[in-house]
Amino acid sequence: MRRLITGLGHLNEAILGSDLAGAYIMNVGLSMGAAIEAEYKQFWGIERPFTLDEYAHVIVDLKQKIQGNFSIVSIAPEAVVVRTTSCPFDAFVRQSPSLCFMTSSVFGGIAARNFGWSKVVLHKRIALGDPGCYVTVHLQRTPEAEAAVGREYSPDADQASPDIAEQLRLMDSVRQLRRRLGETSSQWTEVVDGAAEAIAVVDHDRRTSFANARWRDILGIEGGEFVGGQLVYQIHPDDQEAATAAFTQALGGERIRGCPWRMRHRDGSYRDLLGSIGPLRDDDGRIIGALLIARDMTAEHEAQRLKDDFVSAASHELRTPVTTIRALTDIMLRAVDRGATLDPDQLTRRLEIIRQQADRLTRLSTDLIDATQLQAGRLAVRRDPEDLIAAVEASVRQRRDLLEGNDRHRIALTHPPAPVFVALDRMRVEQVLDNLLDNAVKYSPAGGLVRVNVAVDQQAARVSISDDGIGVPAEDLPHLFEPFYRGANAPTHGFSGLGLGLYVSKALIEAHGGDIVVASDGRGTTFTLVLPLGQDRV
Amino acid sequence: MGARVLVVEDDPALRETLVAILVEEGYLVDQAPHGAAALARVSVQMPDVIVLDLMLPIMDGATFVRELCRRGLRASLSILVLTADARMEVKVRQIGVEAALAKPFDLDVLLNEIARLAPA
Repeated sequence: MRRLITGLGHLNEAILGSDLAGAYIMNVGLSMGAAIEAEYKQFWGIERPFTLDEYAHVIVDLKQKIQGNFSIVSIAPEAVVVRTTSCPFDAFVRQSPSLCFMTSSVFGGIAARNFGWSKVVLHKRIALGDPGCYVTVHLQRTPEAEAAVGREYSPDADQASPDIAEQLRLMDSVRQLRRRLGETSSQWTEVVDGAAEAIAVVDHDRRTSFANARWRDILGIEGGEFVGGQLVYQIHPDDQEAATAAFTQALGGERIRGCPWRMRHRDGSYRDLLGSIGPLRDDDGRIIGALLIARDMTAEHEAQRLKDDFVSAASHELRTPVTTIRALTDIMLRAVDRGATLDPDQLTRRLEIIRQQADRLTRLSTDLIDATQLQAGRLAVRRDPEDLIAAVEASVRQRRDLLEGNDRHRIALTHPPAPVFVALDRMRVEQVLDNLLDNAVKYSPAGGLVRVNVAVDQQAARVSISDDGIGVPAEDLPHLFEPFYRGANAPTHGFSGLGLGLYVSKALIEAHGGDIVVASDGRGTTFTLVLPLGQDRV
Repeated sequence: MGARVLVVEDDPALRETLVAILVEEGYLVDQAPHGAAALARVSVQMPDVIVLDLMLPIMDGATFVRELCRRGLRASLSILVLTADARMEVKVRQIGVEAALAKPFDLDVLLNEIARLAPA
């Protein structure tokens, strides 16, 4: 391991010291993915093939994106403008990893092989700090290059301009170093790459000189992309100070454990790492870098957060009705103790509230138990031929009873004259209807009308429940039946709930071979319960 | 008696209950379903005591308290926080309130706390 790292250190010293991080990787060759090319053409409004000047700008632009810097997109050679493109950055890299490092002027030589352009003139050096500098290149067409199209490209240092020749020589020495290193370290690479922990090495300049497969996986990087980047820039800004201090300590010979760092994945999200960092020494005991070993805690933290959120929501949902019941019974008991006479209307109202809150608790506990059963795969239905209309009528009647007194909602029921017999678990179907009616009332304004309709055709019986309430935002519709999911507009409108009712309802109806579908146009929502008649039709 | 109490609670049943109880106790009671509505009420009529739920839609309890501080209204009133989550203790301490009760609470304890906080 140490030998490998030492070797890599030397290698990277050679590479980085020579300002050739780009050229090093460039020998993988250039092949711009067709999709990337199409994206840029669309953005620039170009229908013809690219000129190489345009290619050069694409390359610089891509490099900038990968570095997380601003994006330079311009097809005017002298103009550098800051813009962003519509191009999905991630897709570029997936399709053409080699593009990431096309930064040095040697790029022009490679481009010549592929596109028939040859002479490379250094156009502009842009010093950006890390790593080294970048160049935009200006390419000119030559007869030799046209003749070389399609032929194998082998750069000839003697023929190249001094700038290019220097880089080609360095590339060659890098290649030799790699080969030598590869001979001794391939087995170690396998071991380190196979490790479950993320492992990386930074040199004295805090540049990443090695990263194993797990590390690259966590950051969403491929191949040798990590080489030469300042590791600290991939760390969350709030954690950078602590990380920098830890690097300094490690490079000074200390070992630090339990460092909680958030690191930026290529997709922009952050991963929670928990790692340790310590000095890495060569065979003579000299510190040549710092070794980081870390675990990705993101999934654990997310699971913990979901659990905390759920416990907090459940606690709130359960305690609120209990508080109301407790407070109302307390005050009535006090009145009785004092021998006071209770006003009959007030008494009725208070008992009604207590009943509503008790029902709310019952529904919550039913949902919780059902959801648990469902996740354990044990939610069963027992189906018998039953009149669906009778079940719907019973649910509507019960809901009307509950609503009576406050008179804030009306329920209109329409159905065919004849009974509709379906094989169903009546208790479960009523539970679903009750849940949908409760939602319809909850999410619609006082005085609202809830329409319930039963329809039947050759294939299925349908019960639709429509309200004229706040509706469901389009982005919430696909998630509505997921456990613990609550519409984005539910909390802002002050609606409580655990997000289990629809999840359980859908599962129950699916257990009947049916489905629940939802439609919402932003003003009101319709849930339709579909129960197939099939051979079950009686 | 006659102290002004503002009840900030999103659950309609609990809000109605708290209001009814406090009215019966002789307080002048105002109500709001969330922090933003409560701020509007406060700007119309300063209460002596605010009974505040923390988990509120639109503007939560902690933000509401910060808003009161920002507007220089915090010093002239007392706040009694009602929490449903025992782990909220830390948060309650952070925002700094005169009293806190965990739901469900004993009615006598609630009324004693409000009486203690309300000016005589």
